[in-house]
Amino acid sequence: MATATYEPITTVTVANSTTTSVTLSGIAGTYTDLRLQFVGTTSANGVTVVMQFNGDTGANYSDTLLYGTGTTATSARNTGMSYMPLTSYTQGGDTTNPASGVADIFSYAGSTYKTSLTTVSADYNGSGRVEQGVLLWRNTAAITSIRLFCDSGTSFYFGNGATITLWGIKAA
Amino acid sequence: MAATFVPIQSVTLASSAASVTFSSIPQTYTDLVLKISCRTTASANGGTLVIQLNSDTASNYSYTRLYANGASSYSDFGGGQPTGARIGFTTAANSTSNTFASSEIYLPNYASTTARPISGFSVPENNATNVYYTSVYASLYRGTSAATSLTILEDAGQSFVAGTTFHLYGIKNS
Repeated sequence: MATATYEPITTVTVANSTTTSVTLSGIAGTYTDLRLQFVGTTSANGVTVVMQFNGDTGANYSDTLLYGTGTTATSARNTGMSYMPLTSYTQGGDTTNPASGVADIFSYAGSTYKTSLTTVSADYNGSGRVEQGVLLWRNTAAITSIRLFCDSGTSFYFGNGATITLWGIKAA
Repeated sequence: MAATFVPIQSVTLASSAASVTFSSIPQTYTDLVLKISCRTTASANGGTLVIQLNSDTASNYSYTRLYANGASSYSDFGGGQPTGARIGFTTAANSTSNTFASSEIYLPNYASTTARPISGFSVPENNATNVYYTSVYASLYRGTSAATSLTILEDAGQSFVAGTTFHLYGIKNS
C-alpha cells in the first residue's frame, strides 16, 4: 500500500496587527508539489496578498486570471510582475470577514519554470471576488522559500489571526 | 509531521434522499474537504448545491460566484442566504444518462467561532446542449459556532438520486 502524503510543513498564525510580511524558508525538496494557503484579512479593503519565490524581486512573474466580482465575469493577464497574487480583494480589519487563497505549486523542486494554480474565495455578503488563476515564475531553480506580503506596500499588514499554511504532496 | 487529508466519513446513496448530514464531526482537524458526485430528481437544468452548517437556517450565508455554460460566462452574488452556503450545481434528469456532477468544497478553519470562507468548485459537464454550468463559488458563513455538522441539500427541494456519493476529509496544519 502506498504511503499517505499531503504533509503539513509549517503554519504561521499572525498574532498582531503589525506583520507586513511572512517568509517560509528552508523548504525541503523532497515533495513533488506544494499547497500554500492564506486565510484571513489585511489592514485595508481590497488589498492583495502576494508571493515571491526565493527572494526574487525581478520582473519574472506573470499570470492569467478568470474572476467574478458578483456583477461581471472577467479574464485578465499580467506580465513582467515582481510578484504573484495569492489572495485578492481581502477585507480590512482584524475581526471582519476573512478571505481564503490557495495556491497549488507544481513540481516546485524541478528544473523548469514553475506553474501554480490559485483559487481565491472572498465573499462579504453583498460584495466580493471569486477567482482562479494560473501563475508562472520564470526561473529554473528549486523553490526553497516563499515570501508573502501585501501588494500595496509596507504600510499594509496582515490581519491579526490570519493563518498561512504550507503542505507538501508527494507523487506515487 | 504525519501525513494528513484523513477520510472522516463517506455516504453512497442506495436510494434517493433529500439531504445528507455528516454529524459529530471531530474538532481535531484544521480544515475540511467535501467531495461530492451527485445527480438529482429535478426534471431539467439541475439546481444548486447548498451546504448547511450546524442546521443553521438563519441568514448567515452569502456567496459570490463565477459560472459558465460553454457559450457565456456570468458572475453574481447573493447576500443573507438562509438555507445554506451555495457551493455548486447539480445534474438533473435531462442530463446524459449516468452523468453526475463533481464538486469539491473546501472549508478552512471550520472549527472557528468567527466568520469563515467556504470555497466550492463544480463541473456538471455532460456532453450535451442542455444548460449546465461549470462554477466557482466564494461563500461566507457568518455563524459563531464551530461546525460540528454539515448538511448537503439541493436548494429547490429536489432529491439526490441513488449512486450519489459524499466523501468528507479532515486536514491538519502543522
